[in-house]
Amino acid sequence: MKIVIIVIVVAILGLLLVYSQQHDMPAQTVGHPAAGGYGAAPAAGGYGSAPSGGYGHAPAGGYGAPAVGGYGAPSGGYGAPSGGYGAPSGGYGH
Amino acid sequence: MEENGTKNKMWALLITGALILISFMYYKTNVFYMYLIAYIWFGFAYGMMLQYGRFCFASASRDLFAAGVPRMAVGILVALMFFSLIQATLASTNMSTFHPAPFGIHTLIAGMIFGVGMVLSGGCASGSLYKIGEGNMTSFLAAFFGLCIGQAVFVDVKWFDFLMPQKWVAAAAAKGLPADKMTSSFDTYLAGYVWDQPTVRMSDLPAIKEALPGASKYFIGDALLTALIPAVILLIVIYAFYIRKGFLKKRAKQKGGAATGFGDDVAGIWNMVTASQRTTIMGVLIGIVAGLHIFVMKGMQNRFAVDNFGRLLTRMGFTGDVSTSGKVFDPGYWYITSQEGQFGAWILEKFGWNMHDNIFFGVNNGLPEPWRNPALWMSFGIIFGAMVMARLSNEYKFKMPKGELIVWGLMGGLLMGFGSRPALGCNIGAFFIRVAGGDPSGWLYGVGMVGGAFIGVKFFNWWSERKMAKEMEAF
Repeated sequence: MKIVIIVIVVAILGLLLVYSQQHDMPAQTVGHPAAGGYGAAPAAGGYGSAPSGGYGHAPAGGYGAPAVGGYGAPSGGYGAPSGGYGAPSGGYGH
Repeated sequence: MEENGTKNKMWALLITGALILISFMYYKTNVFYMYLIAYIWFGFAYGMMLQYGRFCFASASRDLFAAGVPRMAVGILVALMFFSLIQATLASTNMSTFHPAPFGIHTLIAGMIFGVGMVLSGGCASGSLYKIGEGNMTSFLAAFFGLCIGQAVFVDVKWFDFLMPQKWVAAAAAKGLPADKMTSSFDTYLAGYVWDQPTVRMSDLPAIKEALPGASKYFIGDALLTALIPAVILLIVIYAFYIRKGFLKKRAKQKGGAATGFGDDVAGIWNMVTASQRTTIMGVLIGIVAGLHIFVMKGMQNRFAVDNFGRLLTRMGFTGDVSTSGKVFDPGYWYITSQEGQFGAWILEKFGWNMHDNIFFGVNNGLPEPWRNPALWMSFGIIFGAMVMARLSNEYKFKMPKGELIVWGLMGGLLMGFGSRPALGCNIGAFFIRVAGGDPSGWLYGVGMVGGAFIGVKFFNWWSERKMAKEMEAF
């Protein structure tokens, strides 16, 4: 039985792996919501958002960011890759 | 016995089948939920492996410091080494979701608090989850009241304002955050201190970047320098302190002479690593699966053209779930604690406590409904995965805590909750993932955690001896 369950789990993970690597989403469903609140990317955003955001200043971001972001983020606000106060996908907010 | 085995198998099938059905229902509801389904099943796999390998940082510390048994600590280091190589591979192919954390003394202090907590409660953050799956209700107390409720309360109260230096208050105020999201001590700490700390990732350091062009900076800077070399040094230290003497004595006996050469020590280290195949194999597997998890989550992000599951929730119309930045907690890899905090906050909101008025939930992580919370599903996945494995191994046993176990569980859980928040992670998110990703702050947390665990073990020893002495007196 253990083997059966392991095989099921491996098969599901394999399925997810294959699914995640297929990038065939139609164009109209792609893209972020428009203007975001505090540091949301990529539209006009507040704190440190790129490319036109307030805190951290556009286009080159604030707080010691390497490129265009704030707080050490590649392109975002407080540590997030694409904006925001260290939000989950790249910041300190965890 | 046979009947019990059949019952356990039925339970294992039932749980797995139910999760498959839930996943299918999510998929049929909206294809965007594939993102969440990935978290469920990677969580499930972690749970199975954690339970099978008995992977627990608290057990590792306790076994090492109290009994001199390094089996678990060695397994964790092996997992770390493998995972670092996979992280480097992912980073070099731009398929990594990893990001370094702010580096500072707070990481060390938080690690220490967490370390004490995990020893008291008898399980680290990930260990507590898999132990819940085994039926251990002391771990449930620690996870529910400490990691869930404790963390949520911690980030939303003003109790620690007296600890906040004026400098932090001023720095936080200077950021111009909206007053309705800046209400707690933790908000001041985050905006006034943590956000101003530098982040360090070895492959991002100018010296490493210049010296090592291309992918080599990830393999040498992140994996070799940050994870592999320190892990090997630690293995040697553990061997020297706990294994060497006994091993060389045994080997000399076998050889019929002295055994003190370099080759004998290498054989001793290898023997230590392979002594417990179960733990070591699981260490390797956990490292591989954790890497695969990152790869899949990055793939999901690319597929749906988002950087966070909150974007998908917004597209589906669940705007109330996301933070003001349009996001929810979505680490993109194995992570514990923040999602438990969200769960605790969700419960407290049902009792009328406003949990949206702080940075942690209101601005950073959002407060999705539990059934739309991807990271929380990962935690449930760990519990269910461990439950299935425990059932299949006939190791499931429902155990209610009694007497002082309740106190230790609650106290330890609260300390774990309080210790994970300031460092923005636990034994997994703040140590395991960071070190393997090339962020030296992970080691800072690790040192604190081990130091705290050492204090916890010593405290327990003192407590047990005191208790025994009293019992003997009474006898």
